Amino acid sequence: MRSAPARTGVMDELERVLGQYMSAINARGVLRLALRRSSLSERDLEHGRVNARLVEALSTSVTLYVSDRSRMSELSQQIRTVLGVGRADEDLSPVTVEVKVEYDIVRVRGEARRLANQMRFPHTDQIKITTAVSELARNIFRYAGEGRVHLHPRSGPPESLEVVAEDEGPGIDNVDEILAGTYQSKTGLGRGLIGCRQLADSFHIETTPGKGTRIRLRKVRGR
Amino acid sequence: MRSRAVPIVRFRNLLIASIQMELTDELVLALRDDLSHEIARSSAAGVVIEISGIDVVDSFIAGAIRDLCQTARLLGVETVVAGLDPGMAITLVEMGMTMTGVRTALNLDGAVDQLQEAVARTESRDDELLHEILGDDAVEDVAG
Repeated sequence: MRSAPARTGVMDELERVLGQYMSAINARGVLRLALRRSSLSERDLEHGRVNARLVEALSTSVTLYVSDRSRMSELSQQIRTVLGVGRADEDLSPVTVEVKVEYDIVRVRGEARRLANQMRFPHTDQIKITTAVSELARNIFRYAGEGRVHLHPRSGPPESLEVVAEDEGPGIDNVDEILAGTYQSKTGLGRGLIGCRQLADSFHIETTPGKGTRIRLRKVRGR
Repeated sequence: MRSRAVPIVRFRNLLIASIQMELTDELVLALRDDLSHEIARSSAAGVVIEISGIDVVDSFIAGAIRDLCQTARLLGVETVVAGLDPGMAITLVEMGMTMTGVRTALNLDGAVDQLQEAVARTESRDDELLHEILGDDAVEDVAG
């Protein structure tokens, strides 16, 4: 569970976290450099606009100061926590994650895990949701190039998390075969889709060759 | 440019790769390449892939781990996957992912034990073979 300390701002908090591992002046330098590398401003940070490049840039700079692996992962965990609490701690508002680069797959499942956790899904269901979302995001990235994943907590009853993955890619022309399990692609598209359907409580797919694909699945809490 | 990679450390006669990070597809593939090279280079007797810190095991990651085990086997070493979260195991089964040929252990201790046993078995088999081919006296001569 994330505990949100009383905070003045994301910048200050990050500097404090980094400051445990390096001098204050270095902490500030690392942070500024990471912001520049990720083309973000301090304002972006305070408004919770964080991107994968920032996390990446911070991790890279930090390796210069922290060589010990376990301290390193402890620090990155702290950094992620700080960046994560840019939002309100129990924020159950819908999230849309654009999928454009490979790291977005990791981001989408991070968001899915956070929402599932905050909705208090059982541990195994949190993993199932994260896994299904990972499959959907990967399919978008691999086969459509780009698209987006919406994560929508539904208050119910019954409480559920709805996931919609959509893209304007080439569509899937043999979707029936794939879902029937009679077609196994070498790339693993079929396995991923069938897996998703198995993990979800409901699963709908609309796909038009040349137009795109929209997959909607739902996981109900407490099943 | 690869700024991060899964660290591979040598522990006695084993190679241990501990995944304690969010795993991108690129990192998974890099790990497979790094490990294969390391196996060929280091004459290690076994490999442990420790995944207790992994954020998800989806079809791609599961497939990559399975490939990795098969690759290692082709190179003559056994691999044990340690620390799979029970929830992830349930998820994999429910998805219909088969992990045929992948040896698993609850934790690092179990994995190391399994591999040491496997190594010992191979060695004693090699010894027996040697005795069979050369005869007991000859082997003792060589050993002595």
